Amino acid sequence: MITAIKQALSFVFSKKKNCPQYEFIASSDQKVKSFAVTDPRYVTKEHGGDYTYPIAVAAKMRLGEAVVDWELRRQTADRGIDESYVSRSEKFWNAFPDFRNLPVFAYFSDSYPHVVSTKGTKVQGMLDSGNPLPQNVAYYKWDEERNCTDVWKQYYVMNWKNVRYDNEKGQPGYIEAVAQAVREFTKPVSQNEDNPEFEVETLVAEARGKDDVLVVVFRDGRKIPFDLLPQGYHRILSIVFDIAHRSYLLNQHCNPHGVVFIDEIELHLHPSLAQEVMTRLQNTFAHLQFVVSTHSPLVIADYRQDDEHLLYALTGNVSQPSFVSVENLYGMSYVSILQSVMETPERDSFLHNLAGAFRYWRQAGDERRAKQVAEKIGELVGTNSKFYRTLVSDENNR
Amino acid sequence: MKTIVKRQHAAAHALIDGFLSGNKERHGGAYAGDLYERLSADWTSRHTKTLRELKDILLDEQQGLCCYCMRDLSSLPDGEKTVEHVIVNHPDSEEEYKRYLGHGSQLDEADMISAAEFLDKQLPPPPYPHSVAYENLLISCNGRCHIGVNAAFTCNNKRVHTFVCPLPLMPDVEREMVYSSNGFVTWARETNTDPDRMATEVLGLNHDVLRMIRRLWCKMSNMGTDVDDRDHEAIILETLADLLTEGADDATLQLLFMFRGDSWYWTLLKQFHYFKDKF
Repeated sequence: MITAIKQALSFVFSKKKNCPQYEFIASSDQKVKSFAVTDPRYVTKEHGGDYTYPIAVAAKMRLGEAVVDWELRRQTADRGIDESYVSRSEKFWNAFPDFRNLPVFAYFSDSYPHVVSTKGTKVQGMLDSGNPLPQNVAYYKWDEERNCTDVWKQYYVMNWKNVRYDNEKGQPGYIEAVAQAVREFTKPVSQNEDNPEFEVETLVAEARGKDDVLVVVFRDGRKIPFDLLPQGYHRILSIVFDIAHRSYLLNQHCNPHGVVFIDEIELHLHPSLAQEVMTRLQNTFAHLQFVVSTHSPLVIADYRQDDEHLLYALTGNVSQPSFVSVENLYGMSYVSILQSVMETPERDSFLHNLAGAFRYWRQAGDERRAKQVAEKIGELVGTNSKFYRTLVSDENNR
Repeated sequence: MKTIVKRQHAAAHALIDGFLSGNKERHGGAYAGDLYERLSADWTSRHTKTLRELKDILLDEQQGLCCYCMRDLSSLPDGEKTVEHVIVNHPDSEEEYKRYLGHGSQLDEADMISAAEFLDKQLPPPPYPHSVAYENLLISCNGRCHIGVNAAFTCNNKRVHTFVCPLPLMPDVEREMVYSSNGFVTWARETNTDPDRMATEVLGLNHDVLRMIRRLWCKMSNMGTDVDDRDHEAIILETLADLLTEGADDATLQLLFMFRGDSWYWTLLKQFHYFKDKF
């Protein structure tokens, strides 16, 4: 699904000449993506090794008041992608006449940030010059599995030193904006001040050995090199750091709009942080749209659904995935979420045992005892829960 | 619980006599040291541990059952069978020692004095020093009744040094210990109202697991099912219905489910076959 959305979004990087964005895009590393052999619809060699044509990915985007819908389509194997997207791409760029207030695109895979991408010589050259990075570097490798946090780290360290030593190339506004985003993200979100040790004071550059490294200064005084942070902190702060950079490069501030994809957002996080991570992201980047996947009931347990906050469960199999809307889970216990939404078998659990007893009495025709067990289950998971309703209404249990 | 009748004085005394004379010999003609500790390290002329032989005698007269909770210890490794001092090994004083007397138990007739007095007088037995006296020693389980939990919840290791009436040595204890169908046990002659001092509580005999085990035995007895029946699901579910009617808490219900299938807990339950005919 994420592959499909990323591919669809690549339509904005159309390099058609004479288009308004031509210069902007042509000097970036981005382009429109065709259908990759990693697409699940691609058949293996012994079955012909190609797609069943025509093949397409279609998407729809809200841009302020306007709606843009487009499609990347290949009719046959010997033709490229239909150019219908080009006009839509123009429509997209027309919404940003002066290339100002551009949307951030970012994607963080489940292997992020463990696998580091190599920097191209072009980007390394830009960094080495000491000059501000061009605006379109904000889309540098935005959709890759590997991380390019290294670019941002190097850029931050360089600028931090330039500001510190009054070098004219230093950008104090940039340093402050990025540090502020990290500060905002790490400050306690709840009245009960959970995770106080997570709160960051600032980010600095420090000489460690031969190199200057990025160091996180926590509010409680601890100083830890960014790359030596515990994995949970490392991943989530890398994400914030990356979004802040892309945003600043585009718009000279860190409060962007746009869309960010995070695969398995709970990875390595302490349960109490996993529970808060969505709130923290929304508090820090209020105008960003987050598309997030998770395997953790903690992430979704305190998630209140409304028009702007949606929750879907991925069902079906790999070749025919489908999405079903999930009812509001707010206030449900983790255990019930695991069982009713994440379809984790209730095996060996208390509820499973009770459900087994319920079925036993029902099948034995002892309604009084079945009811007694059902009441207990209702007390535990709520009589409105899917778990309860499915169990009690299932005619197979009769 | 059941009265343990001390009948094997001859064999047991022979062991203790051998140990005590050896102790005296090794300490220049005087009894010395923590006698029970020395007994634990003593070997007979047959090259077996004295304590091991004594334990065999004790277990035999208890028919292999723990003196307090009635768990069958015969299939368990030696380390899970502990030696219980009815009168604690180290009473604080002679008064503390005497608290155990006068309850109509076999201790009253035993030819025994406190270990402190014995070491003081330095006279050969009888009377025997209580810390190694056959009349004062029983076999108890190690009090572990949760899988993977390295803590004693019942019996000797739960009691440690707390005073408790010499119940297994009292003649009517079998009648006086009343086991209810919900698994609770009460002692009819209990005079303490403070739960910390009640015999059944000091010994942890109303621990959740023991209660559940006795409840299940009672249920089996009512249902006429045998513990070795291949599938005991019906017993569990009937008991669940009882517990729900009683308004039992979730922890109790979850404990019940631990007895499903061929679990560790069901194996433990089988070791309490004493309760088969108790209800």
